[in-house]
Amino acid sequence: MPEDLIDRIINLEPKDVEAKLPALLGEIENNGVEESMNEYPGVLLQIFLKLEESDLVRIGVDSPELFDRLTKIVWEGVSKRSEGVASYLDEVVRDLPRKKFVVNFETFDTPLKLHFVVSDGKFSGDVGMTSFREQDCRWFADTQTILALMRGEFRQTMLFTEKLFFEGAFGLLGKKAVPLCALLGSLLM
Amino acid sequence: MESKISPDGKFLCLRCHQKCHLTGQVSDGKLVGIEGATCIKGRTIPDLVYHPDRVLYPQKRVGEKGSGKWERISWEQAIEEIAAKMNEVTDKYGSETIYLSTGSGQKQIGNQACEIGKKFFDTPQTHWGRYTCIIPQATADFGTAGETLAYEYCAEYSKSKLIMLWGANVDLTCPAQARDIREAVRGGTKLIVVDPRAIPMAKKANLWLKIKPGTDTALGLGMINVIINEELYDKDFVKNWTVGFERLKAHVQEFTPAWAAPITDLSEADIIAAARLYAKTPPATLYARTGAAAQQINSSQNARTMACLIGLCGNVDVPGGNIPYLRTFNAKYFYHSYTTRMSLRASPNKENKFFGFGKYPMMHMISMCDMPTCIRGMHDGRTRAAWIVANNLVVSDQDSRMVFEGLKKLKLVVVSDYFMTPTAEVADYVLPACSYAEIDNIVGTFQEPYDYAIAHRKIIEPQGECWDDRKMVIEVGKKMGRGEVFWKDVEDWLDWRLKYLGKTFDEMCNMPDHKIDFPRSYRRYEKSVPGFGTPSGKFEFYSEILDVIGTEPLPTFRENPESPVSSPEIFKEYPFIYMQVRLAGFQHTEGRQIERQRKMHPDPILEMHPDPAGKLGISDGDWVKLQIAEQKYKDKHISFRVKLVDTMHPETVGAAHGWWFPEKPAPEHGAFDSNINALLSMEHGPYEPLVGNIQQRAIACKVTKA
Repeated sequence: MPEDLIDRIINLEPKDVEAKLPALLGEIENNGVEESMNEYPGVLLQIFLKLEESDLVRIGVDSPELFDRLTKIVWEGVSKRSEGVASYLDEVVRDLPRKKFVVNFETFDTPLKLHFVVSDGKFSGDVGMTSFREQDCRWFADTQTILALMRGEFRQTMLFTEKLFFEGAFGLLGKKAVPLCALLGSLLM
Repeated sequence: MESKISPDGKFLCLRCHQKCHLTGQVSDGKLVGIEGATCIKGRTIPDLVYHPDRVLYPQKRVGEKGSGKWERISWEQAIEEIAAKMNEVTDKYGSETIYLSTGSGQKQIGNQACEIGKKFFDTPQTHWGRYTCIIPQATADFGTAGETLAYEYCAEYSKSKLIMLWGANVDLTCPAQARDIREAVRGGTKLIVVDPRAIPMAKKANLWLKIKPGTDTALGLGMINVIINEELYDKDFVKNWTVGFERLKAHVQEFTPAWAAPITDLSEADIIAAARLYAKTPPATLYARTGAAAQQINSSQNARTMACLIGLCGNVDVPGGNIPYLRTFNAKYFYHSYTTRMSLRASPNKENKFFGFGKYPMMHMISMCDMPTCIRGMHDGRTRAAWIVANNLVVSDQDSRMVFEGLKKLKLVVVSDYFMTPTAEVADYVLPACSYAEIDNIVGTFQEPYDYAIAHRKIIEPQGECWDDRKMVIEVGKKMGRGEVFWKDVEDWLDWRLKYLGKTFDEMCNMPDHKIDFPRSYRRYEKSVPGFGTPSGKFEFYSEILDVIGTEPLPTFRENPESPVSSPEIFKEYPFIYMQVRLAGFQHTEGRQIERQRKMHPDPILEMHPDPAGKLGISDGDWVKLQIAEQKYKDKHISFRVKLVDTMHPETVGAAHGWWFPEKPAPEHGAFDSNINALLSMEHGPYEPLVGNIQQRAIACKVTKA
């Protein structure tokens, strides 16, 4: 893998993201997700930030498979890294009868859908959403905001300024998802 | 699943907010009486169940809308046809053009039916009629403390040293609550009443503030000024658990009692006395209702002022203070019927078509669409279908004629109710709804000394072919065949509401007293992270949420759109301030056809002071015409029989809302005859900045002898 992966992401022109992202993701996959994250700390976070600079909605609509591919990479990496925070994750779900917490993400403006699950001290996820009855919380917003949430950026005022909503058991479980998004952001580093 | 009959006859009265525990006396399957401490509304449940005019079978319109020509049809036909028409509307215009509505009738059941419909029909356009009720207060409280404070809260009157009733005539609206307050007052609890009228509690009060309608924020600011400048506030709570105190302090310096006195028509001494009494008598509880915190364009500011008073004096989540109600249920992961509203959403590409999207974000947060947009939408095509559960929308919403005509224009109107109302008369289908005694339900409620959820099964079989409102929505949703079946029947829905408690509805019904207790705890902000559900995690005198929304982040007084100050020219011709009063025995538009209730108030009454009445040649019992300055209906009037009340403010007249006359000819049934909403226009503002209602009380009016 070329040494300048992060530089190449940072220096990528926003207009070139859609064309060049597949190759960058391919490099990460070929090198191994965990290995890439260790070798290039913050590489996934940089991809998120670059996507947010680009014409995100067009990319999401034209190339939804890119988001799905990125999502799979993210969850593979996060899942491995979350082993170090197992006790915290256990704490998060301790008061829930199912000892499990399922969060769906969905957007207004692109086909992006994904979910994560916290259970047995693990943080895992995948593309697509779980069923309504299985979910504990569903966040939906524009794609830009969903990506910002996934890298840990959340302020309560976003609920009023970003047209962001969460749905789930009720607001309490929405609030439970907030620190998990922050954790997700830190695990992407 | 086939529902069972309750073996013990216990159920809850849902005819008002109090949720009294009742036991039905059932003989040979018939409800013959009601046991339990309750008011006329609870006592007359059998009258409602067996009323000869009750709608008992599904009906389909066969003539023009409003022609009164109906055909009895089977449930199979009703479900089949309604589902087909809902699909047609969805395919042609989008599911976001379907509006789901409920009012106070079949209380909580209608709410649940709408929330179920939101998922099955995939529309964000739901409303519970509450933007003219609790919602300004709920949003203001949310912007201050992240939860409700002064409305749906756990009142512990027996532990309060002082009770402040602000625009709340509890003797008529919640008699059971009034009973608790009277008991506390007999035990030495002090009482402040803020009300322009000599309501029953005013006579018991240590201090009655006979305020001019629509000036509540000015009173609150004057009180805050005294409490801060005399350092009567709870310094520990303010220091450790609040933000924005210094900004509030600076803000209120100009709002002295001397400033507030002429605005409110109160004496400076009374404002100071109220401030001192409230601040020096902890724990104090402040209960506010629509008289102060709703139906005006200043409602949320009024409520913000009250919330700040509660916070300043440290009466938040303390025994005998203002205890956040929903926090108790949320902490145990129980789906209170109120919280389902905030939890269930349509799909994202429908939610962004929410009426009021971007304009009323707090309304979107609590999932209540903008009603003026919805009703204008009936005329311009943004609203194409309406499913109305126990909501007499024509009478209860503003601009009654516009609603009435708007409903006629829709492709599909489904109404489920007990009786033919003016709203049902312009429907395409009228569906027979079960009463409280004929359904299975779970109700989250509050009583001293703890909160609980209680489950009950139906105590009698439904009359005729009446169905549970929730079942109607589920069956139509399933028949539409679109996507997921979210709940397969009512019991499945009730099980879902208990899913985090690890119980089923059936199991709950078999528990002692059918009840799950939620032991009360206090000062929960000390233990939770964050302490309050606000951006700062603290109690916000300066509300960051209101700031980002673009409304006043500190409580701010605005003159009413019509007042002697803001529109003196209007007051020359319209010299009275119209206010709304409540009637014992009626919950909003309900009960007019039930004889025992109607006997209490056979005619719509306008209360006025004898002096101005005498000058107009009006005597007690005379019929009068009332008119307002609204241009759209300037040639229209509404009629009342006058009741002279010498304790009324002479510039004020008061009438009950919600009047219609089942005995008058269909389709209107007198909906425009004695109903203030028939004179209000929804087409122009000003609108309440957080919730979007127009001014419905504290309006200039004139009165002439009929």
